[in-house]
Amino acid sequence: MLKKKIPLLLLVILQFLLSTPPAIFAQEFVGGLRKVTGLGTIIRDGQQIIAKDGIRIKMGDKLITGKNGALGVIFTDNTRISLGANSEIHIDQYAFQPTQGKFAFLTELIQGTASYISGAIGKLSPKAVKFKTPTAIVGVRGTRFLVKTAPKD
Amino acid sequence: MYIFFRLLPALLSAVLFCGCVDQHIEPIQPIQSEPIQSIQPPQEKKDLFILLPDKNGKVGEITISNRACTTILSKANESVQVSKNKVPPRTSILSQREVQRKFHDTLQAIPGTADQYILYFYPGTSKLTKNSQQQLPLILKRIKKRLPCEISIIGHTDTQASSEYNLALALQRAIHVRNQLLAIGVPRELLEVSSHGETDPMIPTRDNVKEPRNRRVELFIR
Repeated sequence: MLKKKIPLLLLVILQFLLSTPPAIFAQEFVGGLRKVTGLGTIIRDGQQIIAKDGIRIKMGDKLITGKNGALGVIFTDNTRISLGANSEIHIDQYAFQPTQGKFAFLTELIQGTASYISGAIGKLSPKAVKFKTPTAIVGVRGTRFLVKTAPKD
Repeated sequence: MYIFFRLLPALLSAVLFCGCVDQHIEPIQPIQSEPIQSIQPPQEKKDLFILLPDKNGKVGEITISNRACTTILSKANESVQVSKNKVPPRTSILSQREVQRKFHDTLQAIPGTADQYILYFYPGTSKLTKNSQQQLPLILKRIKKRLPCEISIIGHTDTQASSEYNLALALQRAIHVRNQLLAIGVPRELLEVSSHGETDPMIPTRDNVKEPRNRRVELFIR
């Protein structure tokens, strides 16, 4: 009796294993690169990826542009950010799960210039949006802004 | 002797004056903490923040908090330079030209807005209305035009029936739209499906209300 059930159980487990990766996969990417010009790099888990249109972004990524570089990111909630030349931004936290009321958007501009245009997170949960710079933290009420950090010596 | 008495007020006032000067000098002395000042860099580093109007001309608001205080920007092109520790100077309005000059490359790199499509369903089913079904080829065309892009397919319901049931129904609707798009040739890896159930209505209603405009899938091409 029990023996008969084991293959069925295995099948269920196998199905579960097969079905989960795409779900995780879908959640891992928080956005994608657009309008990449010049030299840009993504640093992910210590590895360098050359920035190109269409490359997907994960939480924890560090985006860096070179001397003539610029790039844009559109997130899954339609938040948009862009970087000018010689800039670096870190995507520290991102969560967009409206059914669970889970929202987070924390980015950190290390240096350079950036723009921010809010998406659904900024509309549904403005308090969840934090944009850090070397001197201050920006809080947003559904809008767009620009930041330029002091030049590094 | 007489002279002495005549001079006494002058002497007294001289002593008083000296005392005053003494007192005056003393508080100055602590300011001789110049070494501390010279240790600090001559100019503190400042980041520049500018609030821009939205596309429809509406102006929102941002708050900028450093260690000293929080500054609010609420006017179009209002800007402020903020250092780490000090209360920032007054905000000022920048000209459009100045904004363009400082942020030309950054503004150029802003990704285009997402295209939004709304597809509607027959009540309680994941069957697309006739009109919505006919939109699918148009959506395919748009996706091809926007490549590289990503597509979010978000299912919604009205508030008829339980919220658990609706969460599942909204997911079925989103999956149905995904399958339809797969069938006409949209690459699988671009499609991302999710369900908001009855939590995110287009037209807010009380619970258990039939509302055709809420029985929908929202599709974003980013």
